[in-house]
Amino acid sequence: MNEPSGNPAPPGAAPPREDGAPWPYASLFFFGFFGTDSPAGKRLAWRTTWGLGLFLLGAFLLAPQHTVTSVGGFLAMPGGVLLIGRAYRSYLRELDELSRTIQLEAFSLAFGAAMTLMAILMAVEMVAPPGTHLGPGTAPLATWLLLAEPFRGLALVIVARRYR
Amino acid sequence: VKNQIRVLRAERRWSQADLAERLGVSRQTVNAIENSRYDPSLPLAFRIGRVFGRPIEEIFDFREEEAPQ
Repeated sequence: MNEPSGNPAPPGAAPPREDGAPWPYASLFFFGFFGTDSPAGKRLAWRTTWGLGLFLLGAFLLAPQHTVTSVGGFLAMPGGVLLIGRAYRSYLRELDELSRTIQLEAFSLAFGAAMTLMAILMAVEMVAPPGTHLGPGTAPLATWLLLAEPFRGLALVIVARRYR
Repeated sequence: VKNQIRVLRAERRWSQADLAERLGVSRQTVNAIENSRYDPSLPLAFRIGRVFGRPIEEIFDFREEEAPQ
């Protein structure tokens, strides 16, 4: 590797390494972030894993077939989501400005797409014959909100490709 | 906004990774700026100028007709 220096290189010096830098599209699409190569990415992975674990624990404790419902169960589900939200907030702060822009643009696109889809389904349900259920009337609201995640992965890839 | 970063970098025989390390950004960000796909913020533009020892206006060329309406 050429050691960066402030002065132009002398004649005959070795050329720099190959340029070109593709975004980690697979990681963006499937996991929604730039991968675990950076310390910030590793921290995000760990924190979101803990958050998801806490969320699932809460869901388990609050499941109707279980008698072990407790204050802990009520706290665990929103606590897990809060942990994931805080992890993303920290992650965004640690990214450089272009990576942060890509993440924020993808968040806005995914939010808009999920809300639009939900509105369309609700509108269809309102004009459909009685007894037809397509919207959140038959599915927990969280199911519809979770649609935002695949939208976000797709949006990340689309936005990142604009900056290649 | 066009820029001279690729030329200045080539003069110093720095790779994009070398420059990215000096600027504290990702290699993809350097690549996007070089290809005029992304216009850096003012603080980052100043850092770029400092790294190359040049004023910003020598590195970046802003054309009025390219500005968004």
